[in-house]
Formats: sequence, structure tokens, C-alpha cells
Amino acid sequence: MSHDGMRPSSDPRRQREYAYCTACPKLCRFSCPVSEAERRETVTPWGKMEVGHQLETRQRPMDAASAEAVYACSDCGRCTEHCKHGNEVAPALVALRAEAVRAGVAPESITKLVDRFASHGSPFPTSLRQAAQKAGMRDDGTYFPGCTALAKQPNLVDDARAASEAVGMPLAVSPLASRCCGYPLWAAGHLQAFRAHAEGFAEAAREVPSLVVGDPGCAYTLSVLYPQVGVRTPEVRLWVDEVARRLPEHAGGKPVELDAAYHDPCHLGRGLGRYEAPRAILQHALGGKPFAEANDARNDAGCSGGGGVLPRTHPETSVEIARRQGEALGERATIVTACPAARRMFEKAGRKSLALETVLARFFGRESGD
Amino acid sequence: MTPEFVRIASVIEPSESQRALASDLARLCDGRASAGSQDRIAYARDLWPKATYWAGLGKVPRPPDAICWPRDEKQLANVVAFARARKIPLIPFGAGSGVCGGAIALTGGITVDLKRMDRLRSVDHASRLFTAQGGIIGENLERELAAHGLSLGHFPSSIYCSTLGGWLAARSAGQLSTKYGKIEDMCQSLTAVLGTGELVKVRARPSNGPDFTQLLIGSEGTLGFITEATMFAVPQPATRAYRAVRFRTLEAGAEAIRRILRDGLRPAVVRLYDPFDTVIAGKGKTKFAATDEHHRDGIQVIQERAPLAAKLAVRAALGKPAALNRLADLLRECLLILVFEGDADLCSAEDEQALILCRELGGVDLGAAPARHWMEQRYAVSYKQSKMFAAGAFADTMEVCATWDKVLPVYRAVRQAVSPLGFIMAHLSHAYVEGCSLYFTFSATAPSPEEVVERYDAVWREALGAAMAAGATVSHHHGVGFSKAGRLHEELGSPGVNLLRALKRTCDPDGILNPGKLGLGGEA
Repeated sequence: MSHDGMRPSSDPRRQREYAYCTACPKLCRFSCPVSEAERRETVTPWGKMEVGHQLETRQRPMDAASAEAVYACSDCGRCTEHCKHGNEVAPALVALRAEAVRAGVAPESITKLVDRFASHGSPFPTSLRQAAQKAGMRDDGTYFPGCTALAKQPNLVDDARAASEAVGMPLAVSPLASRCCGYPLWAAGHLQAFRAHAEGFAEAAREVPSLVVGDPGCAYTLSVLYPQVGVRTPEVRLWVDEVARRLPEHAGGKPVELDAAYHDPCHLGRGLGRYEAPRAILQHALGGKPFAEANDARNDAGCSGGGGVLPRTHPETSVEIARRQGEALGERATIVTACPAARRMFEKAGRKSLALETVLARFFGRESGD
Repeated sequence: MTPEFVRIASVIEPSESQRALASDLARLCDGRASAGSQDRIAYARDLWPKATYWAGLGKVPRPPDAICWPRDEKQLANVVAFARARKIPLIPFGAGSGVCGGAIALTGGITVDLKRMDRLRSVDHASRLFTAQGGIIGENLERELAAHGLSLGHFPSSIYCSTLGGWLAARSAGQLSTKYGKIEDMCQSLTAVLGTGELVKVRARPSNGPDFTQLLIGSEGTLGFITEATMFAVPQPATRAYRAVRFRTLEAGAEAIRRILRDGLRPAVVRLYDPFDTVIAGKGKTKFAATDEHHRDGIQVIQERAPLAAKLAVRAALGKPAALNRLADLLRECLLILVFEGDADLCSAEDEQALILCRELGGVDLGAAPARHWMEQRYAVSYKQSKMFAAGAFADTMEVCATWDKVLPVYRAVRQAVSPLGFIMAHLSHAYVEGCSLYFTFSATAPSPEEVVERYDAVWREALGAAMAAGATVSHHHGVGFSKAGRLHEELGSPGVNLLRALKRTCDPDGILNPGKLGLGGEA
């Protein structure tokens, strides 16, 4: 489409997904954390994908009301687990966000986010470079904790490094950690900016054979989203995989006394298929003691509300999602998760939450402390 | 009253009066109200297939003027008082999964979304009862009950996308209704906010006097909003016994079901597919035929006819239904699926006895695999309609009920009536001692969208007319909504309609609740 805000997708897959969702009896609706939190038909996967069909059929331009709907997604991917057509709702909505950006109707919070990204290179108003240096950046470092951890949870970075060292895998923060992976740009629908950012990241990473990535969202971005825009990255090794593999040989430590519940991060679980490694780490740190899980776990796990750009565009909804997931994990348990964004969300919802890295560092008596 | 379809493009920013309405409602519902254009579009339709068809082409029924989300009965009662004072229609909305237009606004007004009332309030293990709010989604409720070791025993194919309140409002039936009953059999008491704004709590099977739960169940939001219910739960089944049987004819299969029920057996699932539905149901079963070698022969006999027929089905459904229906007439064999659940010994004994009865009527045992496969895929059928609509065709289902003496005459009458207009197939399910439900699926297309809709209307007119003339009820579990309202009045007859109207006047004196549904009101 021209610039009238009604631009049909050139991707037949997306066209089919929009059409199929529009004609579906909303069979995945119960799995969508946003529609469950808001109880609003407009933000069921059905309602959001219908915006795409409206554009495809040139019935309605992308306007502010449509944009509000297509940003109401936490990119958790749970609906796709329940779709027999395999419709990938989250990326289909990102394509619609790109239309919202193009039409100039994206939410104001998105404009602010992208402006901040342009000025700081990340979604946070801090210098990632300084944060990385403070966290022990070294030229030969391979650890990529992600900007949420660096900017908001520096103790997590210390704990991850301490726990890694305890299992015979000393880690230093990579210079690449002074760059955000760019996920917020993708989720915001600024796809050209995302591609440019990815290319810049890849250029900086040209001599880097591999990274040990802590934040599941970053790992997902580097290993799944970058290839989708034709960008090659260093090999992505997950911190949870690397640590879990070494743990049996480093059993020493003191079991952590904790009434724990484990939350599956969406990008780590459904995104990257890792369910066992984080559980093995937690089990080990608790000295074999059981921990709680929600009734809906693993590939059907609930969401914390921290994904996508939902906390920016729909802050109350994202906190309500975290509250509901916290409730599903048990009222009194401390929620352990391997995702810094999820941990932030649980804390915003008034729950105690610990990083998996911190629990393991505590097991080895090396926790950095708050 | 005829629903007006408007172009989605015409649903633009709210008018001043719509904004003011939403603002007033927001004050009543702690901020939760909207007149936004995408919200009005999303609430303009439920899953009435005619509306789904139009939506694919960019049209929706006239949307509500505003939507609100009350948190509790008190807020809801305030919304009712507000609407009464202004004579504004109120349209109750659960999850919008109804297929008869029951949640369509028709004349605008306020759609009241009840999903903020979505808590499982309590579980009484000793009495095996639970109390839940009406806005809870079925799948969520079942999962919460499972954590208590219990189950709803109610599994409509819409369980992922429908609410407890919606089930009660539309007299829902689940796939295991032969054992556990329909939703009205599972309700111990319910709470509702009437059109007067009064909150009532009524109990089923009172020791004396009328059972008012049964007046509100099936009232489809025309008398009140069902906000909470205490329901009977069932234990999670200890075991299941699966059985599939092939019959030479539909008549033999139907007679087998009748005898199974008559002899006191209570399978949870009973489904007898007519010959073409058998082909569709058998599609993709080669994988279990191989693992169930002993019974391989039986299912293969049916499946050998599938590929050509299935391909022809799609083509013929796109234009030449009569030819396909004639082809389907050449098929004879039918698949019966039985599932027993509960105590292992009892299941085994019932399964054994059912098989004896089936064999007496020429039934051939196909083993457990086809029934197990059905159970694993029991909600999959709901995903299929997307492809039909995306292909420019429509698909819809009609479920009626008849006593055993009329079941096959109804089947034949409907097939005959629909055959020239659309492809049709059916299965018998929800079997009871006195009769069963006939579940017809039809699809068709036409050269232009307008003709498709004309064809759709014609199919429904002929199908339901033929069914009722042959002795069927107007519905078994989809409800009446808007689309079957006229037929409901035929079924009730003049005295029945007068009673219904008197009830409406009492519970909804201003006629503001869900106008046009069950053929009531629309003047507000």
C-alpha cells in the first residue's frame, strides 16, 4: 500500500494466518496472557490478528485503535502451542506493528522507547558500556548477560559469574555486552532499525566465535531473530546449558533453604526449547528438594508479562499478567526464574523473585548480595 | 428483526454520544468501559458462521455503542439500573463463542462482558460441588478443577473459548453428556442479576415449587445475567475403555445405540458417524491401524474409499453439492465410537456388554484405536472451519434432538432437503434412553458473496424446517440466539410463547436484555 495505512502483506503465510485467525472460534484465547488479564475480545489473538485481516482486505487503515491492539502481545508464543494451523501470532503482530510505525500511529511509548534506543543504544537510560566495565568486562570475555541484567540487576551478573566459576567455567563479560541485542526494536515494529542494529552487532562480533548468553530474550534474538533478517551471529551458548552440563562434577555446596517455585521464561522454553537445564540447576541448588511449578508449565507455561514491549505499551496489563502467573506459582513461594525481565515483572507485581543465577551462587556460598 | 451488516470501514471513531456512554459506564465499572472502534468491531459479532463469513469480506453486524466490564454483581446491577433508566439495550457477553448470533447487538446498545467475574470460588469435596463465577473460560475452569482432582464432566468442543455462564445461558452439552448429562443436569444453584436489577439466587430441584434454575438456564441473556453457579463436579476418571465398531448401515448403528442405552449402559461418549462423516472421521487413521493389527481390516475397509471421496468433497462443496451428496449415498458403512470411563472393572464390563449388543446387529469390532484417536483429537474439528471460510465457502452445523422413533426420519428428511443446496453429513451423539442428538454439518459456496449468504440462509431454512417437520427439536445444545428465534416460537406454540413473554415482562420489564434473541423484544 501506498501511504494510506492499508498495505497488504506480501507474505502469503502472514495473509493466511490473518485469515485463519479471523475465522477461528478463538480456540487459543485461554492461553493468551493479555486477553486473560484484560478479558477484552479485542486483545485475544483472534481480535489482534483480525486487524491484519482488515488491512489485507483493505477494509480499514492502520489507525491508533488498531495499533493499540497489535501492541497488546507479550510475544510469549503460547497461543501458537495451541494452534493446529501453527499460526505464529507474535511475529505476525510485529509485522502489523511495522505498519503502525509506517503509518505514524504507533503508541507514544514506542516512540519514546525508540528515541531512547537511538540515544543510548538500549532501552535503558544508562551506559551499557560503563555497566559492562563495572561488571568485569574483558576483551576476551564471552559472557553476554543482556542489557536488562546489566542495567537493572547487576548482582545477577556477579552471581552468574561466581556460579560459573564454581562449576569450572570462569566467565568474563564480553565487550559485546555493551550493546543491546536489539530485541526491543524488533518487538516495537521498527524492523529496519532492528536489521541495521543486528548488522552492526554482527560486525562488532566478527571475530567472536561464541557467546555465553544469560538472558533468554537475547539468546532468542541472536539465534532466532537475527537469522530471520539475514544476519549471522557468533554461536550462542546458553548459560543454563553450560552450567547444567558442568554441575554434576561440582556438587559441593550448601543446599539453599528456599520455598521456591520455578517459572519457565517464554523465550527460554517455547522460544529455545530449554526446560530441563534450568530445572536441573534449581534442583541442584536446593539440594534435591522439590520446588513448586504452576499447573501449566513447560511448553504450556504462563507468561510473566515482560516480553514484547508490553510493559511499555500496556504497563498495567503486564503487571496483572505477572500477578496472575505469580498466583499460579503459589501465593507464598519465591519465584525463581532464568529471565531478568520476568523477575522484574514479578517484583513489580509484589512478589519475591530470585534469579536462577543467584540461587546457584548462594548454593556455592558466592552470592554477591543485594 | 434482521441484523444489519455494516462495513468495518464504517466503524470509525466513536460519536460524542458513544463517548459519553462509555464515560458513564466507566464510572460504574471502575474505569472498564470503551467505545473505541476496534473494541466495537471485536464485540460486533459472536461465532455465528454467517457473521464469520461476512467478517472475512469486511463486514460485521451493527456493533454495540459501548462495552463495559463490571467486576461484580453490584456493578452489574448498577449498569442494569443505568440502562433501564435510559432504555438502552444490554447484551450479555461471555466469550462470544455462540453460533446462533446470541451475543450480537442487533440494535446497538451496551455489550456487557462478564469475564471479569471469572473465579473458581470454592470446591466442596465432600459434596463434590464447586462454585464458580459465570465469566470463567471452560478450559481454565477444568484445569483449576483438575488441580483439585475433579473434573467438569462437561466438554463442549468450544471449551477453549466459552464460559460457564454461556454454557448455562445456552443449555450447552458436552461430548460426554450421555454419562454426565447436559449443563442443566449439572447445576445445583445459580445466581443471576435480572433485568430488574435484582440479584436472585435459585436452587435446582427444590423440595417444593418450580425449579427456577431451569427458567434461567437456556434464557440466553433475555431474562438476566448468570453471574455464578454451584455445579456438580465429577472425579477425574480412573480409567477409560475405548471401542470402535463398524456397522453396515446407519440404521444398524442407531439401533445398537438405542439398545445400549436401553440396557442401562452409560458410555461417556457415543458417536455414530453417517457414511460420509465416517470417511472424514477415518481420515488419517492409517497410523493407528498399523499398531492395531488385529483390527486393521475393519477400519481400512472404510478408509479405502476416503481419498477420492475427500477430494470430491472439497470440489463439490464449492459448487455441486447434489453430485457429491449422490456420491455419498453410495457409501453405507458407519463408524460407532464408544468411550466408557470411571471404575476399571465397570468400564470393562460395560464395554464388553456393549460389544455383544453391537455384534448382534452385525457390528464389527475395530478395536480401541479409532476411539482413542477421536479422544485425542476431540477439539480438532473446530480448527477446520478457518480453511473453509478462507476458501470462500461457508460451513455450519445444526444440532437437533429427536426421540428414537424419529431419529432416522429426521436424518433422511434433512439430508433430502439440503442435498440440492449444500454438501451435508451428520453424526448421532449425545445419546439418551429416549433419543439422541443429530449433528449435521453442511457447507456450500456460490459465485458471489451475496449468493453465498443467500445459499446459507436457504440451507438453514430447508434444514431446520425439514428437521422440525420430521419431529426434531429446534436445538440440542447450540441454543437459539437470533438465528433460530422464529423456529423456537413454532416449537413452543402460542401458549408457550405467551408464557415466555410473560416471564420476559416479569424479569425484564423494560425489554432491554438481549433484544431479538429467543424472538423476544427488540423494541428498546
